[in-house]
Amino acid sequence: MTQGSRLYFAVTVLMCAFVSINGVGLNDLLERASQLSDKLHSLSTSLTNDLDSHFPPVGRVMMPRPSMCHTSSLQIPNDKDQALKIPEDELLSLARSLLLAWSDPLALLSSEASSLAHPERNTIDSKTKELQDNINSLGAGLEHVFQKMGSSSDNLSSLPFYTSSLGQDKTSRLVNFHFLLSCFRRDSHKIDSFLKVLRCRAAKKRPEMC
Amino acid sequence: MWRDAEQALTLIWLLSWTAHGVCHSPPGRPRLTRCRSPEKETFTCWWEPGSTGGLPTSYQLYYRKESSLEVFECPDYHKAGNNSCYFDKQHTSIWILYNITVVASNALGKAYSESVEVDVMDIVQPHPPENVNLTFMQTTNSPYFLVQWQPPHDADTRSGWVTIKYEVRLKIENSGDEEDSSWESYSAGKQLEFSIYSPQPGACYIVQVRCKLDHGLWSEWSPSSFIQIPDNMLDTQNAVMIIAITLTVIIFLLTAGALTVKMKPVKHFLLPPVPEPKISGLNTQLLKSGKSEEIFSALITPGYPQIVQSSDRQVEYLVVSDYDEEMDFEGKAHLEYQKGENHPTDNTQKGSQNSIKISLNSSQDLNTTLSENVHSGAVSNQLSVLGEPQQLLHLKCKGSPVKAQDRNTQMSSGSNCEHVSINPAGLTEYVEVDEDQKPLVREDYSMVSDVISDNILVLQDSIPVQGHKEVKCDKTSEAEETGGVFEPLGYLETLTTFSSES
Repeated sequence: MTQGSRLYFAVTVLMCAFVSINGVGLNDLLERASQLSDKLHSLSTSLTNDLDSHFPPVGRVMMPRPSMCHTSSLQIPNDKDQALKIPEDELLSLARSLLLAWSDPLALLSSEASSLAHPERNTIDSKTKELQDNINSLGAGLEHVFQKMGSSSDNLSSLPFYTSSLGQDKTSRLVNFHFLLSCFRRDSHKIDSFLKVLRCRAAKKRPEMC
Repeated sequence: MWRDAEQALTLIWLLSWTAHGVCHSPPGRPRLTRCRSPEKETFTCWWEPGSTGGLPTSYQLYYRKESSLEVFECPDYHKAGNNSCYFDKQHTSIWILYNITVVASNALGKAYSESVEVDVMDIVQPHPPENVNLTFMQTTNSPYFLVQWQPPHDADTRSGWVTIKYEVRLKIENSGDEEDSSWESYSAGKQLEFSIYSPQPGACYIVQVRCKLDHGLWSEWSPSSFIQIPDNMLDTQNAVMIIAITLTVIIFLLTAGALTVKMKPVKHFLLPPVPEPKISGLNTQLLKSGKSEEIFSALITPGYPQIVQSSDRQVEYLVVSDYDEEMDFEGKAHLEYQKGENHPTDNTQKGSQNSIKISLNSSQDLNTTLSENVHSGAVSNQLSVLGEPQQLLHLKCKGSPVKAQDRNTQMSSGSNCEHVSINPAGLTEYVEVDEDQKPLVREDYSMVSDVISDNILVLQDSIPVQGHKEVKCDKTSEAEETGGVFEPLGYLETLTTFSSES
């Protein structure tokens, strides 16, 4: 291969790669993202059910209120009319902020899952790891969506998570684990709803996407 | 005493009876049974009243939202029926916990139900799909029936707030004594129709559809719809199939019959036999059996060389044959000289003819020499050349070239010719040498002075037999001359030489 043909080949490969990365339409990206968020919520529901199967009654009393979730400060729409009024980029940034807020807590949950005082701890452990993977995939996907949508400002809300440990004794660890998981389950439902509204809005000419 | 007891008993019985009807008590505790949101925009809660306590009892529902302490009362008690509370859009918020309590109160007191915490996202259950429609479609190849429906009227499937998906189930209605068949369920995604292919002809199907919003609960099944599949659906299809299969079978049988009857011609037609080099008289079957004696004995013909019946001329035969068993001369050709009768011939040039046959084992070097005394006279007009690809003699004919023939025939052309070209074709022939010519010396190879190529011997003082020869050929005469069956003696080759000694 001569130099000229090599150069030509390299340029062609680069162009193909560029096109393939950017060639996926916004519709397909959002479709994929909403599938991932759907899976995320299903996983969290199944984890919650596993935990509930052997949960001490006292734990329910001890459980913190949902308003204590670290993401409760984020202003989100609470009904359909409000949600449909929000512009798309704001919806996307809400979803991304929520998702970003859970990467640290989920790491904590993942590390604590194996030492839970629960008979189903192995299942819980593997599902928690799967949850982590899914969050990372969805985060990367939403990055692509953000770039594709091409909005100028990136106004992600910061929702810090300061807790470093779930508790000292095994009951409080179990209770806090359950509490964190319930917060996450609700937030994953929010993310899923927002992305599905986005998906439908982006596919204006294709009502079968909604 | 008995009377007192009786009176006391009746009194007690009366008292208890009246107390039951007359006594009032505070109400029993009501119980919240369920809350449902059909479209993720509103929701309804139902409760079950406890005992009324004999007094008219009223029920109130109070709720508190998650992060506030303010208590609200149910906005609508009637829309959803008795003992229910309907929360409309304004009063419904999602992702917020509602703490709901029902209070039963009558003149004597109140009773509080257990509090229930409800989040709208967990209680989503749509109404069943509407207007389920069944249509039978008769296409020629693949009949099917189509199930169509509409989404529940209150579900908003266009904004993306909810994503609906459907499920269809069907079973065959058995009117007889057979046990009920079970339901078959199919997931239909987001579409509003579903096709069931290849339904059972003559069957009556029961079809139901239900739906679900995102992660919520499945709706109730829609009311049953029925469809009757016509009976004669597959008749035309079956008839065509049967006819086609029967025709195919008949054609197949005919072809098979024709093939078996006319096996050989068909076989020859399709796969023409490749001509093999064949040595007449050599039995390949015998070769395969491997008995050499039989093989070689088969090669020997008792009647060979040909004994001429005509008596016009003196025909002298010189028969040279080489058999493995009779090789006394270590591979030398064995010469035999026979005298035979003349062949009748019209060729005046011919005198007595000699036929000389020389058989040689061609695999051996032609070191054998032979000398031949050829009678003087006309040149023999027949040459038999066997087994050698080279041409012994070129005798050119005026007309067409003479071809060496196979056994029973002779080389001849259709025309009288003086020069005959001979193509050795591995056939038995013999050379008739004119009787004028001297015969070759019997068993005496001293006359041979030289061997030219594989099949030419030069006798002393003789001209090597090569090139043109004055030969007269006459087909008819030759036809009479030759006869009988010639068996090849291995590789036979004859040549005539003219000896000047004759």
